[in-house]
Amino acid sequence: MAVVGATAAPAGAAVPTKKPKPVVKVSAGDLTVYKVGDNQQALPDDVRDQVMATLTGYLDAATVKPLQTGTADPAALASALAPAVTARLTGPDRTVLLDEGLPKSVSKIVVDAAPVKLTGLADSDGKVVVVTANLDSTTTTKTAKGKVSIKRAGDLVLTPADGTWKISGYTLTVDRLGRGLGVTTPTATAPVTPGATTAPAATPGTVAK
Amino acid sequence: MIRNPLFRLFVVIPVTGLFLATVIAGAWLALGSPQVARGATWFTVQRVESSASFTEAPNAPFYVLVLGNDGRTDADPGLGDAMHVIGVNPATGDASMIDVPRDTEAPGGGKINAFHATGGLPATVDQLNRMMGIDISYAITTNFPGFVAMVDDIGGVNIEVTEPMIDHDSGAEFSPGKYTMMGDSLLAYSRDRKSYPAEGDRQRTVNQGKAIIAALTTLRGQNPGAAGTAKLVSILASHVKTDNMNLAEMYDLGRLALSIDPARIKNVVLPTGASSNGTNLSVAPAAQDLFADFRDDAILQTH
Repeated sequence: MAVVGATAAPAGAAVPTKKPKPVVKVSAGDLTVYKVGDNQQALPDDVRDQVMATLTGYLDAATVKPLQTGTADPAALASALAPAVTARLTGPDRTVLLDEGLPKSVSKIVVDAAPVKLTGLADSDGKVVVVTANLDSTTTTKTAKGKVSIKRAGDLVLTPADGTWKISGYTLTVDRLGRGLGVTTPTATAPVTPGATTAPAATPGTVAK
Repeated sequence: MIRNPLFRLFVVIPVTGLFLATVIAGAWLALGSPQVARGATWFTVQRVESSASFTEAPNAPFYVLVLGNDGRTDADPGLGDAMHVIGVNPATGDASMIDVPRDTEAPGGGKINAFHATGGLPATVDQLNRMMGIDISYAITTNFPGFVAMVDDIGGVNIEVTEPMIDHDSGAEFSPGKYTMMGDSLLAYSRDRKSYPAEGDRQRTVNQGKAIIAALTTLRGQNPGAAGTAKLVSILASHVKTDNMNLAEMYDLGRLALSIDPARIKNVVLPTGASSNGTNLSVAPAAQDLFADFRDDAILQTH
């Protein structure tokens, strides 16, 4: 340990200023629509494309930008999140929805997701009013303190708004593993909040290697 | 043991040193070239896991009327023979239900079940609001064929029969035990009043409330998730009529309902007594205390 410590960069060394180029690999998987009074049908292409654009925008705003700069991009988030979800960012859900407060990335940020299963709910006229997206993404990068891996999994609910689709609900779990994560304060005992289907919970832990 | 000092000096020591350096460098790279902050325990890898869930549903207490009507076709509005007012408090995740016997006298006069036949859900909601002093936000109803098809489409409802039930008019013929009832059976269970000679209508109303809670328990047991809820809502919407509830709201309310623990739902039958005309049930004076308990936060705490 002493040998390694001696070869480490001195404390306070400058972090590279070149912005790492992110790679976001997210694609649509199974597509299903449940239609009122009818059999299943296919999710329209335009809805699929708009939903995937929103998901990509969310991952960029919630994960990539914070890892690059330390904080999320409010404008980009506003275009991906419904107002009710944006309001949740002032509470304990923020640490689940956004990857803020982590050491800045010094290498390429890679967001890799399993094909996203999209499920729609359509009225009897075939108009899709709700889409659920089953997300299972892993973000990897390297910070000045070492490798960081962020796994975000769960369901996002999207509804149409202002000619696009926005995230209006979620059931998400985020699992961050790496060095330098101590600055992230987990949501330990948040009370049940109005509109929340479950209380946020956290299980912080330390893995000694 | 190597005794040659020259061999040890020029071969063994450099080779050993090279080996150690290689191992250390490999470990350094494998660990992501960590930089050590002063005072840090740099061999520590932290793991932080957290989760959260949110549904865009009402955040204040609200009330829903779930009404079963006896219409045999969609053209027949039917009598409101099964009326259940459900209060939901999203902040606590609790719900309570008041079951209203069909023969209960309405504030507007006559039996309350008749208001559905003449004025549909809005008229029934109005009577119940006046009776309980609440403001029902959403209402939903289904008829006989809709009920049967809906239960069939969700794959049946797991329910326990606690006493023998035999009513040839409703078709109920159940021994005590646990059942997965399909639509026809659950309809018979919910309509049976002749198995209870003394208080047939009241006990039937109790059983209808049990059926609603059993359905919620069954669906929660399937752990439908966000996508499964879309399927369930499409089934529900295919067989019901609603008041003041669009499909997206039905989805959000469905997500909220599935988050409620059925074991914590209080199910109370409206206290009633005989009325002056002999056929209606009057709202008993004790009901006023029940209504007061219900309207403050949609949850029954003292009943």
